[in-house]
Amino acid sequence: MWTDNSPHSGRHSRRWLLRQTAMGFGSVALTQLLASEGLLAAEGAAKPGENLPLDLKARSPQHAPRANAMISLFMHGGPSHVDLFDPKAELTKNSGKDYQGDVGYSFVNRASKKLLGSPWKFRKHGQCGTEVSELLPHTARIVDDICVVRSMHTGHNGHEVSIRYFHGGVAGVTGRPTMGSWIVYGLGSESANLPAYMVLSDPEGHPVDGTHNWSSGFMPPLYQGTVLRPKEPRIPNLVPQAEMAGPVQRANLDLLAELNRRHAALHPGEADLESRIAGYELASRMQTAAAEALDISREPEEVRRLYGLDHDATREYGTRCLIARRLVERGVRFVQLFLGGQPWDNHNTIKTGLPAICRRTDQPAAALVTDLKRLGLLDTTLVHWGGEIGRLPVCEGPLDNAVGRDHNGQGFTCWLAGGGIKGGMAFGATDEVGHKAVENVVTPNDFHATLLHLMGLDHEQLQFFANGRAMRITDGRKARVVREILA
Amino acid sequence: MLGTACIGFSLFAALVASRPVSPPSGAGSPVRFETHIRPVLRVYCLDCHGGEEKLQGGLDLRQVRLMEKGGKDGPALDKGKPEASLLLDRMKSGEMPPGEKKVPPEQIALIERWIRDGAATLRPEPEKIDPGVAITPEDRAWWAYQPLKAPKPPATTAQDRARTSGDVFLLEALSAKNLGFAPDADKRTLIRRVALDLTGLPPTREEIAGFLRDPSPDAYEKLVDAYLASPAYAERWARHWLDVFGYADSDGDGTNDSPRPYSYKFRDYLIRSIEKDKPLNQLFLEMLAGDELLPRPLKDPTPQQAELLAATMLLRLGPDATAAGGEQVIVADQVMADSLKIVGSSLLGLTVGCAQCHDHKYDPIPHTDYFRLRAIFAPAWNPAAWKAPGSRMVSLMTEAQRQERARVEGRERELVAARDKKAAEWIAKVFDDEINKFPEKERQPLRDAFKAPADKRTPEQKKLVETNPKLNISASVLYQFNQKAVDELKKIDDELAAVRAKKPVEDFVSCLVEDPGLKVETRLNHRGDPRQPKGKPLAPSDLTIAQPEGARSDLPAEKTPAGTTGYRTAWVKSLFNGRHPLVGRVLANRIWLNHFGRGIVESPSDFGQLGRLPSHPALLDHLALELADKGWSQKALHRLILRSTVYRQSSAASADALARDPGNVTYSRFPVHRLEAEVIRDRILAASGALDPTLFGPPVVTPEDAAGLVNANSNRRSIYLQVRRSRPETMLASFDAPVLAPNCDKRVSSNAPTQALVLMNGEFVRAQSIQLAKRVRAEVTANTQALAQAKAFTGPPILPTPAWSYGFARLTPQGLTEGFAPLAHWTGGQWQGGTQLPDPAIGWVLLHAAGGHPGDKAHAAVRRLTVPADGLLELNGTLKHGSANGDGVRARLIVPGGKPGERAKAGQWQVKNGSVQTTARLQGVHAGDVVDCVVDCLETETSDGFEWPLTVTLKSPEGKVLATLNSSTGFSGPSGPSLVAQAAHAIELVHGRPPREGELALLVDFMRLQARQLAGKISGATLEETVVALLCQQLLSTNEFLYVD
Repeated sequence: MWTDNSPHSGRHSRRWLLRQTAMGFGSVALTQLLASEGLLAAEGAAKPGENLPLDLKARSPQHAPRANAMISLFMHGGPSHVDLFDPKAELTKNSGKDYQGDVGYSFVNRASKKLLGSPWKFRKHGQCGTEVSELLPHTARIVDDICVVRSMHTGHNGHEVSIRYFHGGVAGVTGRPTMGSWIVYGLGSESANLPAYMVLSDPEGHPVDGTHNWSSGFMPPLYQGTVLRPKEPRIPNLVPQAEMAGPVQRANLDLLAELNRRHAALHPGEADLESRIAGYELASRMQTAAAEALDISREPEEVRRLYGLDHDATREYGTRCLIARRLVERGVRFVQLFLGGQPWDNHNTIKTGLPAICRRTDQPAAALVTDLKRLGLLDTTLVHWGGEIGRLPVCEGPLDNAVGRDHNGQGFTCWLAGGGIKGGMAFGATDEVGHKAVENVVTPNDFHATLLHLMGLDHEQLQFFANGRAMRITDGRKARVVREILA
Repeated sequence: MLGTACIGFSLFAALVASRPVSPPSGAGSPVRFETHIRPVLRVYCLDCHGGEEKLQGGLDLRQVRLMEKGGKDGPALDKGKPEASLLLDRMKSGEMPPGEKKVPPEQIALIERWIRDGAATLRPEPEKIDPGVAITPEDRAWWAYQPLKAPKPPATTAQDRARTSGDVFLLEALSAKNLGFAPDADKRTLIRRVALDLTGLPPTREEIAGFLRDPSPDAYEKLVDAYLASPAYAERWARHWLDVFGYADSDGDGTNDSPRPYSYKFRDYLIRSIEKDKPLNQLFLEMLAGDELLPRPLKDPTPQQAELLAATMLLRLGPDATAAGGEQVIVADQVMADSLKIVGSSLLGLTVGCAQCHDHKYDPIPHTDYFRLRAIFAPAWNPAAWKAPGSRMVSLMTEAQRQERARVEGRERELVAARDKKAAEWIAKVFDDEINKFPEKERQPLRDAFKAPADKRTPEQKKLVETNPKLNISASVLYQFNQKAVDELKKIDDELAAVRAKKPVEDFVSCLVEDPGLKVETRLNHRGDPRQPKGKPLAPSDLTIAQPEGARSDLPAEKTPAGTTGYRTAWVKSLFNGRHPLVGRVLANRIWLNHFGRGIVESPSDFGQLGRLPSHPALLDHLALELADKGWSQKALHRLILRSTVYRQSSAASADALARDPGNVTYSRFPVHRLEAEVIRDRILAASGALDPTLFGPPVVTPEDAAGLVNANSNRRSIYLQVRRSRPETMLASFDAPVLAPNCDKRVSSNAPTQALVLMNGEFVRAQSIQLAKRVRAEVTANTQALAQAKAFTGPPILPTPAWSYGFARLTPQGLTEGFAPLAHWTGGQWQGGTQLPDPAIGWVLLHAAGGHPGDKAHAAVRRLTVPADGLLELNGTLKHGSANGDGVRARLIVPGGKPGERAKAGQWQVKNGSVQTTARLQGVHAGDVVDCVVDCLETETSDGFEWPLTVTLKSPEGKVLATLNSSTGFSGPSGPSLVAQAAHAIELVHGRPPREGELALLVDFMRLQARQLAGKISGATLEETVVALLCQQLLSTNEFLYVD
């Protein structure tokens, strides 16, 4: 496939090649190609009532894309937006006083109406002057490249309900394909050697809901996320015994493929049998490709320092962020990082809990954007940082050193960068204390519509037929592309 | 943990979004309150206006009558006048409901149309209604709550294919698509399907042969019965239930994930019960209320009573973090909630847990129903006196065993005393013996010194003790002085060991035991918060919706032998009274699901509005009734299902079936499905012959390596491997073994590259492939069919012809060889004259990969190289002899001489207890030339073991390497049974069938290619085995092996 030794130029050239091959256009310039949107759409869309081919071949998007890969730093648990990205003068001013408005609580038993002003200071940063909390000094340095969305809204306080909303498109419901599945279904894979959808799990364990977070739901398992273990070996059984590698293994796989083809011929129409044949081929190429992609030892010292690999607090998450970059660089379509044990779920002792998780993730997350930009990859790579909910402006429990904040699905913050997102801006707003999104509300479905749009997919047109129904990521509910945040 | 408490609540709002209330079918069709309007109000309004006792604004929206009456702002509804109806006004303005979630416009429009048309109801509204959101006739109309009635079999056109009444129901849907069942599967496919389905193991060769041979019309039924009678059946079907019950051998308490030492007794109980075909009503009675059947106090449990105690572990199987700290009331509440979910999943098929915090917003399960259900279990769980996992043990020791233990311990003490006494006597005697060896006058001082206590010894005495260690005689050194002492003491020790071995060991069972006479009140927890109980105590009862309308009743009083409340006993009896609408359907569906890989209802634990509708409702009812009619016998239902045509049909889809039923919704062919993780692992072990069929017992520990990978190193069936919730076994997890948090409703079947990697590179699969290759080689000679196929097979040899051969010869006076004869016996590692060494005929001659041993002067050891091509031969090596005894060895290279038939010496070396380099270059050798590497004993063969590994290179005149023919890697044993036959036999062992057309040729080509690629890389002695092992590994990785068809 790509033989260029420099991986970044490799991704571009390979992507270029694929696009050309996929559309049978020879060497027509990219801009011209992208201009011919009608053709693109015609190529990408499936016939009415039919699914796209259930394979991983790279497909042309439905319209001109801005991004061809996405990294999601999923901060589940509910990062406290009023302490991180959404400064509220009213909240600070009235800290300790009772809030007069309605509050939607999760934990009624510890509910309080007492406002809790952020214990941390905010300052304007960058050219754009976006305000960021002192808890995120590294993120503060990249504000000119990111768009802070302060009006996220699920309408549900519960973790699972909102997580499922973000991943599957319908609140509270599992068994649906996740966003990564939809993207890979719509676009196929750019890498012939690595799974198109990869999940980097945390040493502390799986997130709430476990494997549902990367399930392919009613789509074939071909589109589910492949999980990398949090420590070496990140992919078990990756390496064959020395004398069995190379041509010996090739001969093994050739025989296996032939036996499986003969078996499949006796069972026409069984998609699962077909996809398992493809699975072996992918696994075989993964052996070399993944080992190379996961090997960060040859990254230069300054890159390792950038991600904080030289510090205990940041090493683990930094390593995963760096791996994420190496994966998209090599054509992986969708990479998602999870955390174990809900470290953002600061029901109590937020004053120590929140700084700790910020220390762990701030530098690596910012480094990812900086590094992608340095390599010229940010233009085509979407980066997402955010959780499924935020936290309430009022106290959970008494206002003392152990005070915390309860769940808040009514209004919270995420940030996006790269891949056609307008950097250096803040979008939307919550009310005066930060409880509810009131201006330019963005739901998870709007989020899906927008990100799919940037990847060249139309959330209405991208359909999968299952159980006699046309399925969409938004399940037919209203969703809009948030054009205001597009570059 | 914190987040889960409120999920039920938030979920309901989500449902509204995912399942909008369906509008009346046509624009002109009438809108009615019960069918169209109330469901909307239930989602958006009734929480505050009717659902709870306190009415917001005094307004109750549960009836049209009450809307007209209105609240403190006046009437909410004016029939026929939408514009004057406050209800509509508040919705339209967005004032109501408060908060983010508003009534969607199309539903507001529907309400408007309804009011304009006169706000009609289907029925007159009663004057009095009970508090809360009542269950309406519309709720009751849901399919799953309908009483079970025998469905009328449809008249179909394709009756000739129907073997059972169930087939008839399926044919109805098939003929609607102008389809029928596929033809019956062939007998081999069928026996494989049945064996894997019923036992989770492949059929043995004997079983296949027997079935194929049996022409009797009931051969299939006999086969089914035989499998149903096997313990493997019970293991397999217990595994299905263990998923639903959330079985694990650990507590799931965070990172500790503490092992649960006695869980396995529940697993074993379940296997035993299923093997006996314990009726499901009895099984569930024992699992949910076994303790109530036992008289108290629990003393001297008989084995039957111990089984009942083990059964009650069902209510203790979920994750349980109560030993790990945290706020006990919350953690314990979570355990109870999980347990109730497990019960709900397995028996009720409803998401009862969604009513933990609030009325279930979609299914008719009021908040109070949830706690009434909990009240059934509350006295057993007794949250006020909660028992953490460690304190749930009941000793299984009987009074007789206790007495026996006391008796044995008494005897133990006697023997120990006797032993000590005897030892002291011997010590004294040996001491005396030893001291008597000293001169007379030294004896007394020595005696005094050694007898004096250590801290009372005078300096002189201390010195005496230090300088005479020999007199420090203790029991442990007696053996150095007196054998008789040792013998006498050992006799006592042996007796002691024998006595100890008979001491009864105290065993325990972990269980749930309700204390007699205990009263535990259950109240509704406000918003599910266990710290906020509210209202009056709730009487225990089954779900309202599961009982006939208007006949909601508390559980009848049930006298139990234990003197407990009897709630659980009464509840289980009511579930299995044959009239419960859910239980029969849920159980029948689960059994069907496990046979076909999919259910009639695809959401086996959710028969509610959020679940999936049954694909064949009449079939489901039919099976549910059959189950009850046959006394809740699982085996009877298995027989019914397995007898049917739908089960026996082929899995190959016809073109028609593919076109008209691509998803196989109508069962137009048997559904192909992947085997579960455990079956894949067990099937591999069965194929290799390594499977250890031992039944029952403590779980086999699955160790975690330094990298955190958990790999089982046992040949037991997978059901016996330890299940740690947080440390899943790598291979099983990669093939979707369930994550038990708390239980698994239904297995998924994923296809990830990690599975391919497990099969390609995983240690388990590789080791089993080698094992299988050994089995193939050992057993192939008995497979006459395979041998015959091999005979008929033509083609070039698969393995390269060995360049080396092994023999012995006499030496001529000139030092040349004559009378070369091959060594006749291969030990598996070396060549020699016969099974015995020295061989009676040729003595000590032997050759192995590195070297060997010559015989006497008349029997030199000869390693013979046959040159494969013309060229120049270079031989380099080191001759080693490692003994100072004897006279060493002599090595010679004997090569073709100048004339045909002539031989010549090309080198000679001699060595004793040392080593010598041997180097030779032979110009102009020709293909077929023979080079003998000869070692003889000189004069005597004493201690003549030698090593002589040779690096041999054949070069062209230009110096290009033509072949590497090293003596060590080129070493090989005799060629085994025909590799073609081995391939045929491997197919039979793996797939249970003979090779298909063209298949053997494919496998032979593969082996030839691999042999060529591996030759020279691995020792020739293992080349054949490696090639067959690679073949076996591929067969074990095929879809044919991983799927049932």
